[in-house]
Amino acid sequence: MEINVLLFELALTFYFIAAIMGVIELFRRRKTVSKTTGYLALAGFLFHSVNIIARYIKGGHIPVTNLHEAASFMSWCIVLLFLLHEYRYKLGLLSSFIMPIVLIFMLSSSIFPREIKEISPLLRSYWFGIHVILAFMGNAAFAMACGIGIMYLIQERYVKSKRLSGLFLKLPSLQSLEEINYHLITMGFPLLTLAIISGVIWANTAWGTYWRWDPKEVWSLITWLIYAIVLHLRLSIGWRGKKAAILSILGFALVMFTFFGVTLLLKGIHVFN
Amino acid sequence: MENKEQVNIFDGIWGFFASVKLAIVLLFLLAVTSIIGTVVPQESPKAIQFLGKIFGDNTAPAVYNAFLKLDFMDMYHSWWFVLLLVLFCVNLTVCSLEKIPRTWKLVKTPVKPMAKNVLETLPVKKEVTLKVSLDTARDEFLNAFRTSKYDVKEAVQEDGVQLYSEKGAYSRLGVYVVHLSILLIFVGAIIGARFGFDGSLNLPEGSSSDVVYSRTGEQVPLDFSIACNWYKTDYYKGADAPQEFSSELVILENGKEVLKKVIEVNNPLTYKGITFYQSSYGIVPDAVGIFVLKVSNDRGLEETLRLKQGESFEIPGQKIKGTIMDFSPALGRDPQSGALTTYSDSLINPAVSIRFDMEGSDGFTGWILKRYPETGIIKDAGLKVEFLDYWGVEYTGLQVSKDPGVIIIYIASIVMVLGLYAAFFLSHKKIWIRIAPVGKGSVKVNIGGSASKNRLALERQVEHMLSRATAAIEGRLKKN
Repeated sequence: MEINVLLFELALTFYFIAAIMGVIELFRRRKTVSKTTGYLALAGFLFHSVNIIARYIKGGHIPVTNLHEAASFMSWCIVLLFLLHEYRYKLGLLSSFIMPIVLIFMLSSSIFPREIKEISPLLRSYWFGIHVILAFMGNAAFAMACGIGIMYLIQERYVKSKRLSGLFLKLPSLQSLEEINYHLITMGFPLLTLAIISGVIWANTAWGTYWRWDPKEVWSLITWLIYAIVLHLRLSIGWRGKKAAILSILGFALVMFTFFGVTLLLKGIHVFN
Repeated sequence: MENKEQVNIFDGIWGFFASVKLAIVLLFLLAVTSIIGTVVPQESPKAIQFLGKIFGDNTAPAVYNAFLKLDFMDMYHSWWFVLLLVLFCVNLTVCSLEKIPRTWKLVKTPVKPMAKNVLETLPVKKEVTLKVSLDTARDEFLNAFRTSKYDVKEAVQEDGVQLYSEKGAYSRLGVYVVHLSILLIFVGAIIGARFGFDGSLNLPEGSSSDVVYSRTGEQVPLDFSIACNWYKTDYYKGADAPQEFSSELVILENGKEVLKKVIEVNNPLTYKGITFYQSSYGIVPDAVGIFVLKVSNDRGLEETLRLKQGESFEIPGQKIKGTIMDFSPALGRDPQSGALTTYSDSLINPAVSIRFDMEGSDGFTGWILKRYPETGIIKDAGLKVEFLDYWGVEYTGLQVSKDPGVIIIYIASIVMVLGLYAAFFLSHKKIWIRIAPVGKGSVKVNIGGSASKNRLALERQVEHMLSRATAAIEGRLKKN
């Protein structure tokens, strides 16, 4: 087995165990949250990082040139953000909601062919790396906001039903969930904006047209418009709490469609071939 | 009366467009309708095929006609989509104009001392009692403010002093900067559509042109000429995957060369506002190519030759004659029989067959491959023949465009990023610190703060200032 395949399998295994442990954690009758899932995710992340670096060195370009690499890099970005939040805010049970999302991307990645291919002249531009990293980090922030949104909805049910026990004690407070959810969207939105702008500049240097109404372009514009709505609903109309949480989950569903659906169903220049 | 009615109509329209709810509806409509163009092919022939597949041959023509009326095959330029965009722009402008005066007042109104009871209702609040004189406490809190880069004001009140300050007032305008950038994008797009053009030009190696062709095939004259010296495709080592497409272009003014540049896929040539992009390539039908060969040996001979098929060359001093016999644009081995075969019409793996005749021995014929220079080494004669190019049969496909709106789009992008930064990452923060003596040698400190966003960050900052001031006060007490 090739070394980078082995590294990928190791990362996948660690993420898998972390996700399972995270879900088990939800049903355990203990009052404190175990830190094991965080460490498992960190171990997986280290193997994953080496896998990405190995592919980068072997291929000579940032490994996001087919669906295997794209879904894998997407999970890497989410785990990175997750670890940063885990370290900084120490939110109880965050891993139980984020690691399953990571696992969805990792498992999707594992079903696509893994060979490292030569890239077309179009991708041989430094804008490629900039564009992809901005877009993926933006998507990762939206993924985290979705996870936090789900946590909010669960915690809100406990608060509403006044069952102040079990998960209620382990989940973060509604206020901090709300604040971090908003904070993540205010990170994701500028990152998505920068990703679109870098795409615009790159398209203009490669084709002489900064906007071609290609399906991926349009769907990222749609995502941008929807998150612009989310922000205005929150800041001008005052949609907070439950509504904001639901919006961040729907927003991420749109991101997922733009990521997988557009690539697999609709044709265009962003489709790998 | 009439005048008043007109004013009312104006107010009504203004009120309609000043609504954030309208903005949300329009954003949503733009998002939803945009989907159409990603599903329905934006070209008639493809759309016909697509509709036929979905609706069947009987219903498809009716659906096609309906789609044609609604411009679904060119929806991003349709009247209704453009109308949505116009409404959106008006909404954005009116909404911003409506809100700017209020925001401007918030920005410009200086922060004032605050009554104690109000101070205690602020979103961020702290209270401590310190065993220190009023003056010392005042000095240290002033310091703490200044190290956090606040411009402090001071008010002496009957029961003590109040220090107060604000920062980042202008960040409140960030959102309008973002709105402005969106309007700028529309300005850039309109300028591009009005004053720019899109065209293409297929330029064979060694030829020049002073016109390009628009999308509809019309000639668009240039006020200079452009020539192509050569076009080439580079391949990854050992693979038929292209690594780079490049052409050497020359700009000519009145027949004189003024600019020469090798363009690549991500590296175009711009002259007088017109940009030439490497976009395709192909073979010129019936063109006669010239073989460019480089002959060299270990005795310092080096010569570049340009020959046509059937022509011969002699290598001086060696009495060897070479004749160009055959050419293959893509020479490969048939995987089954192992025989040599031409597997493509494109110049993927060009090879030239040369017969060498030497005095006193039988000649031999061999293929020399352009991508594999080692095939040109002739050991017996100490010679090396490199196949540099098969020149004159390919054309470079150029995308030609002029878009004076691009610079505005770029400026708008920068403005948008700055606006988003101010809107999301900066905050208008206000902090009040009230210091009042309580009993002998003690003061009570009440801190209150408010922020236009990110309350947590302000909370952290206030805590930081408080701990800095108390640490400094304790330090002073120890010294004394």
